[in-house]
Amino acid sequence: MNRKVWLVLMLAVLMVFAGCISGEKPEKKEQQELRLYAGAGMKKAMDVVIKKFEEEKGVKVIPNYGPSGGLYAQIKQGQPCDIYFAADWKYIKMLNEDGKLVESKKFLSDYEVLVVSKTGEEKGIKSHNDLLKEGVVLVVADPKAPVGAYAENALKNLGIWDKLIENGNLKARPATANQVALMLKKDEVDAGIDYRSVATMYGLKYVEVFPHNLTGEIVFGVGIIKGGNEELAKEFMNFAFENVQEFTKYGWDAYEKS
Amino acid sequence: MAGMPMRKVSLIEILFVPFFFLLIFYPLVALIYHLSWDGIKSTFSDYFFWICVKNTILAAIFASLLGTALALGFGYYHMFNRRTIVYKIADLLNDLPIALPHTVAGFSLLLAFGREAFGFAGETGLAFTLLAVAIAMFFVSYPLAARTIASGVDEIEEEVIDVARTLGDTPSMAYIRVVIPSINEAIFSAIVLAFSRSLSEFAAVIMFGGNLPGSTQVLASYVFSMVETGEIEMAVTASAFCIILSLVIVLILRWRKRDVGGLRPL
Repeated sequence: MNRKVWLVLMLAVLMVFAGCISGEKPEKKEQQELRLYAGAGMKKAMDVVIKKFEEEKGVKVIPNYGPSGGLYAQIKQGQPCDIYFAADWKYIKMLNEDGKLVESKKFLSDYEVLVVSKTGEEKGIKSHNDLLKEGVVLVVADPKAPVGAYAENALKNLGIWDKLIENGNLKARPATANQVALMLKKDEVDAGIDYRSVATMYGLKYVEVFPHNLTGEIVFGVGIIKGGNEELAKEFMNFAFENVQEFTKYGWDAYEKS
Repeated sequence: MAGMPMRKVSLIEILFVPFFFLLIFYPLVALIYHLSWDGIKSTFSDYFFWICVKNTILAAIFASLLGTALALGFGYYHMFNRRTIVYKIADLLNDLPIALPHTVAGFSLLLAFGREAFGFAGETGLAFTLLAVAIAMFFVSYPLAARTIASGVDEIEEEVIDVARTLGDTPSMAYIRVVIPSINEAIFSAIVLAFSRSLSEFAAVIMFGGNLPGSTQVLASYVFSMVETGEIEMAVTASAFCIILSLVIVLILRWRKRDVGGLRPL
């Protein structure tokens, strides 16, 4: 074989790859499909709602759960999606600014709560003031995860953040709300700050709820993506609002009520 | 073109070259291409970045040396005690840390060495310290070291060992005096592989190490955080830094290989 053949083959390979990247076009199938992206924290409640929706409408919902920021990036890069539930309103706002949405709504409110583990309870942690006591092991999620950023806000507004870093009581910055919950559940730490929804889901005990004026407004939002199956997505959005009790069970409030 | 001598190109070359350049080389180039001056400036002036660099290098050196030391122990079993139950278990479990999702690895380390089990070692057990970072890196990088050492040991001629044994060496003496000196290339590869693998680990490190900026955060989690916050330029810079760091390590290996190449016994 000579160099020419070699070049042609190389080009062919490149073209196949180019095809993989750009050639995606959603195909209409007989059964309608809804591609739903949702923050991983909502999975339990969302799965229930999805099942109900599928049974009622005879359609197929394909969920994709993940970190809201990651899902945002995927949607922005054009990965096909019809409806997106974000664990932070900011992602919906950003998609709106990118011109990717036809409609968006605030869906749920959540709160940051001070969770104590078994040992934390024994140590007598009852409010944020007790976090400064000597020998308390505190975890707050990494500020890059919204759950960590809100918690940091609250502790800063309460004026104890710098002290917690100085006295070394802040021991770890896990990456997600779930990791914070796991550490508390397994009693590896004394106290942590997490979403009320996550704490409820893990059956954890919380001793203080931080109001939104300390943390900033914590709102979960939903957006309908331009160019997807907009009609079905709208139907699903309304359906989720009608079935909001599935979410309030897990510690969220419906947005309107708060 | 016309003047160049034509050479037959084999099918293997046709398959290898485009795939290698497209899937390995091109992504790295793409990353470097996206480097921007602003990103470099803001990353290099970030105090936490340099703490991460220090933590990562220290912990990775510790993890790779410990990993290779332990791998040499495995190599001994691989050579002399293959029939023992210890070897069979070790061989079976060797690859497990690679197969485990790394968050799971981090979580099991936390349960194993956290304060529930290791409360005597401190108020958080071994967790959330630089040592924890190193242990997490060790946990995920040891398998690579063990495989490398084992294949190095496989290359030793049995006669060489037999000679040492007939001259009166015990297995462990033969291992230390004959085997280890003649697999120094494998040892070096093991260290480098374990080191590189340690650099890239972050899921296990976040969970068990603590990920506290300024004390236990590592480079990989720094990059991850930057991507999550949308600080893409800083993420690119930090990633490029990781690549260059790995490249330096690999080059050291190459240089070293040439060095010992001439001395290598047949």
